[in-house]
Formats: sequence, structure tokens, C-alpha cells
Amino acid sequence: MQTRSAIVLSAAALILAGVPAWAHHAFAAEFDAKKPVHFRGTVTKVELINPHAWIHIDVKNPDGAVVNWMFEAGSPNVLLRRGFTKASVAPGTEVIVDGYQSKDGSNRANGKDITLPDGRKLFLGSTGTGAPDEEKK
Amino acid sequence: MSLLSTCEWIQNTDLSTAIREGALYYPIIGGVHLLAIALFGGMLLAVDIRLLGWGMQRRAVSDVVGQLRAWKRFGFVVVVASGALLGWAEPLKLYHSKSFWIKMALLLMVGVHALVFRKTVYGNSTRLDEAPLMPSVAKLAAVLSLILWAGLVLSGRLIAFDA
Amino acid sequence: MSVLPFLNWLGSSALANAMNGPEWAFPVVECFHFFGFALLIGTIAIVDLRLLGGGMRRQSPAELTQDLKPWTLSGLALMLTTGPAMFAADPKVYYFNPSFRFKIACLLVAILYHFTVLRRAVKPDVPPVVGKLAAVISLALWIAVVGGGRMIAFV
Repeated sequence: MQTRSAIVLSAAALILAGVPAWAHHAFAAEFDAKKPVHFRGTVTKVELINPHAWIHIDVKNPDGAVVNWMFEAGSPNVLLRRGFTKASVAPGTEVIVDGYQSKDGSNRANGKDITLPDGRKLFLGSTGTGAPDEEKK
Repeated sequence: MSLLSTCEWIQNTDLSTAIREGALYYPIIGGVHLLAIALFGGMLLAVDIRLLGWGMQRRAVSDVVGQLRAWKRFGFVVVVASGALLGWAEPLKLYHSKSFWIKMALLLMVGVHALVFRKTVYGNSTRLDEAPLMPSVAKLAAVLSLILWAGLVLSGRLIAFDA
Repeated sequence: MSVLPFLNWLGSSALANAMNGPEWAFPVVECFHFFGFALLIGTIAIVDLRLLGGGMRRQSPAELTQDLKPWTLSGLALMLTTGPAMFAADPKVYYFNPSFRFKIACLLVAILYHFTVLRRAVKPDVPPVVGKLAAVISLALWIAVVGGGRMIAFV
């Protein structure tokens, strides 16, 4: 019995020892469905990386200040299959992005759709991000 | 060449980019990694369960330790190899990840564990067969191996959640 | 009856809030899910490897099945509690995810197979070639379950 308690205690200690600030991939945990965002901006960087791609865009606020926003997108696997490549959103491209802001109020959002300069609209999320209206797609 | 510049060099290799940005390499290697965790973990659990007297009491210790050794090693090699490939894909992220360094420290301790207990436990199983009671050093080895394995899984999983 | 109201209810249940509350909740439950499948699949693999003529050859497949049964079942129990908890964190995501559906289908077949076919295949009077075939199918099913699970985040 002693060894068993030792295991349980050690496991608990291990869990508590490493509790940094984590990002979570579940929509409901990280993003706020009540905070939809809609921006027109210029792509500054695209990280087409596993498991989630990130698109960074510079957005000009009404007061003239430029703010950088990060949009989380699906995995390279889903994006590439939809015809989304690094070239289609090269830095400098003017895009319109729709999404939902993160719960912590930072300039990060879950990307829903991106509209490219040629008018093409691409769905950004994974299959079923849990974002509102997802089930209608 | 500093560790950081080595990481930068790795990150810029074609293999790194292919796994990081490609469609299927990453999930497939990840799947192999998970399966190897189950194989290695399963073998290790069976051995530790026997050493702790929690199960397989009718089987000789040497039977369990000896016959599962090759599979345990195979699982370990696959888990390390697939893990190395996953790490090769994102060395810069790992360099800044606390969980990754915890994991590497635990991995180092797996090596120490093997060296420390080889003589008294894992390489000594026929002697354990004859012991009237399982010696506490064998139970300690089993407990530590379970903790190390669980710690490796946990710290590995947390790498993805490090900010 | 539509399943959507149930998914919506589950997604806002106390369990979902707990899973999505503290940031460590999901990864920790996920780790216990991994512990569960290591127990479940690891112990099944020992029996399957034995049927294929490897690993614990001094014991019979039936003996090994009997020896490892409590651990296989504990692993299954751990999987079937942590799995639904993770599902509750984001019910609609999983429900509409093709890889999740593939995984669940494989899981149902794998469990059914384990308690019907494989349980009989370990008996001493079964011809070795049948046992081998049964073991290969068992391993393939569990590999598909894990592979499908891993792909959920990528499809």
C-alpha cells in the first residue's frame, strides 16, 4: 500500500510541478464566441505549421494606430487541401479576416474565413472548430 | 556553435520544414510515436506490475523480465526515433519550452535508472525468482520506472501547451 | 431526434466547463487517456505478440489473457472515462470530425472483436494460423483506433 500511495503522491507532485500558462486548442476554452472580429489588414507573416497555422496581419485602427493580430487556422493538412498555400497569403497581401477573439482579450483570434484580394473566400478552421455556426457548413 | 544557432540550423533543414509544414508527415510520425508509447509502456507496465506483486504472480519474474526485454527495447527505440523526428521539426519551439527540458531531464534519468538497477533487478531476475519476498530494491525500481514513464508522457504532452 | 441539442447541452455542461476551465485540465485528462491506452493496447499487444509467436512464449496465450485481464480492463475503463470527458470539452468539433468518426467506428469494432473473436482465438485448441490471423486483425484494429485519434487534430 505504501508504494501505491508513493506513486499517487509523486504523480500529483509531477502534475502540480509543471503548470505554466498553456494555450488550449479547444475553441470553447480559448476563444469567445461572443467576441466576433472582422478586420481588413495586411499580412505580415504566415506560419503554416503543425498542428495549427497562424496568420499575422497588421490592422489599422480608426485612430490610425497599427495593431498586429494573430489568427489561428487549421492544420497544414486541411489548409493545403483547400488550396491555401504560403503563396496565396504572402506577406503584404491585403486580406479580410473573420474570426473570434481570444477570451483573455489579447490580439489573438480563431480564424473563421479569409477573403483574398481576388475575392476568393477560404474557410480557415479545422473541420469543426466548435466555432458558432460550424455545424451548418 | 551555440545550442540556439544549432536549433536554427536544424529548423532550416529541408526535413524540418517538410515535417513542420507538410500535410501528413507530422500526424503520421505523431501516430507512430503514440503507438510506440503504448508498446513500450505496456511492456514496462507488465514488468513493473510483476515486480510490485500486483499481477502475474504465477509467472516467474525471469519469465516476464526476460521475455519482454526485446519488445520493451524495440518500443523504446521507436518512441525515441519518432520523438526525435518530431523534435527535429520544431527545435526553436523546444529550445524555449520548459516542458521539453523537463522531459529531457527525465529521459536522462531513464538512462540512470537502467544503469543503477541493471545489476540488482533487471539483470538479476533469476535470483528474484528464488527470493521468498520481492526485495524492496526491485519494488523501488518498478515504482521509479512507472513514475518516469508517466512523467515522460505528461511532460511530452505539455510541450504542445507551453506558451 | 436530432443529436445537436444533446451536443449543445453537453458542451455547456458542468463537465465541459471543468474540462475547459483550468488550462491544465485538458492535457492532464489527455495524459490519463494515454496511460489508459498504454495499459489497454500494451497488454493486448502482449497477447497478440504471443499468438504470433513472439514475446512471452513460455506462457500460453490463454494464460497471458487471464493474467493480464484486470489490467486490460482497467485500461479500457480509464479510456472510456477520459475519452468522453475530452469529448465533452468540445462535443461538436468531435462529432463532425471525420477522423473522430473513423476512430469511434474502429473502437466499437475493436472492443466487440476483443470480447468475441480474440477471446476464443487464445484457446489451446485453436489452430496456430487462425490465432495468428486473429492477432494481426486485433493489432490492426487498435492501430487504426490510435491513428484515427491522432488525426482528429489534423483533418
